[in-house]
Amino acid sequence: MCIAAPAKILEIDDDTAVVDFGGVRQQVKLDLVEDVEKGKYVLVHSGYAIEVLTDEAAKESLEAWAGLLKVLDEEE
Amino acid sequence: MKNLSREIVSRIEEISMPVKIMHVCGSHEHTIMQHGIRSLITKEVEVVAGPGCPVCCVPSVEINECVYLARQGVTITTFGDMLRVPGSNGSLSDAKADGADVRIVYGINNAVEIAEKIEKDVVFMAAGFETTAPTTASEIISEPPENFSILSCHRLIPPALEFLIESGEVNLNALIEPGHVSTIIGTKPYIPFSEKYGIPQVVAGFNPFDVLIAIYMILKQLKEGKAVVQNEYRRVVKEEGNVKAQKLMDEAFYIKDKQWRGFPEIPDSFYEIKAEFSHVNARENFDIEIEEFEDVVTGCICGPILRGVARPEECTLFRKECNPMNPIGACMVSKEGTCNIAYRYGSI
Ligand code: SF4
Repeated sequence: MCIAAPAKILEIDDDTAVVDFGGVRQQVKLDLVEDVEKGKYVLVHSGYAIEVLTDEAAKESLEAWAGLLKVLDEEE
Repeated sequence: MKNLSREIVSRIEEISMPVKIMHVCGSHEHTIMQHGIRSLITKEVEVVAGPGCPVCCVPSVEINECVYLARQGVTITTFGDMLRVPGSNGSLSDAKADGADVRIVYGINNAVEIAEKIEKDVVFMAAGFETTAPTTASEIISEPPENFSILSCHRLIPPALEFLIESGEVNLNALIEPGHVSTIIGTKPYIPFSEKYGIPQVVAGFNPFDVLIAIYMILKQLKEGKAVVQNEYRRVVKEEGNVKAQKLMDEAFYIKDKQWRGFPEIPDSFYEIKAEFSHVNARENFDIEIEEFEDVVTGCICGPILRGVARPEECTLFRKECNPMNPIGACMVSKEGTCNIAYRYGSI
């Protein structure tokens, strides 16, 4: 139930936005986040944006995990 | 892709040791079962599922409260998974079959929209951990319509963790913390468990790589004799969490002791609506009459499963009398439930 997915903000109207989940459009509420703007990614849970994401975070690339392993090695 | 998982698995093998790691998130269990993570890693590294399904953790008494309201003619709105969770007098789905108005919504905002359109009383049964509680908080303080109220079933994860550690029943050595609960509460609330009980903890995301890396990070801490809170899901989770959401929750809720399914009363584990918003609290707006009851004995072992001391395969009803089409216990009802997930993705 704590499922949440990244989506890109297409339009903002006051405290709601239209977002795009890779082709599927949906309205989400923005009451729980700050500093949102068109084009940014948000993490959406049960109809509400719960966090603003960087583009890299939203895209989840393999390099990111490989990079994390490297960071862990350096954190020794 | 294969290479990266092989790399992480071989790192795990290198420093493997007998350890019991608990996660407390239905989505983690889903990732683990779907990708066969338990069979990818060495047997001595045991990953057990705890109370990670908020729907499963709602005890019969709260289902009874809601079924009572439904049968009194109140329109009930809630998440789809809640409908078939059994109370001692049947489920919301039974009430619906008898003519009660029970509607599935995707979020509390849809429930408010329903209340705006109809004259009747509308109650939203608000289940969920800290991930979901802020959505309820934001509607509580934004003056919903007068015919709308909320039956809170919101629960907090850290007090349940403390309860499990203190009880010693599972004997856990480490914790994988839930990524989306942590998106809201941040990483600090977990620190006492590392400091007080010497338990390594890693906040993790939901991709199989996230879970594998989290297991590796835990083993590395154990190997190095450390016990700290690390954040594997740093692409989403901030140390301080979502401060705006936390403020809304502080404004709308107070925290109290409450029983969970499979658990006795857990101290400070429940969000109830503050007195100043009692006009949106269904428990204040209606005289909910719940008779004393004892949970029917069905052979269901959901309780021990939620406490991480049993697996679905140990239940004699699993895959037989109990299946997703005909669920006997809450853990088979919800798609986040350990039994439901085990049914769909096979045994360990
Ligand atoms: S298989 Fe069904 S009856 Fe058995 S513990 Fe799970 S939910 Fe309960």
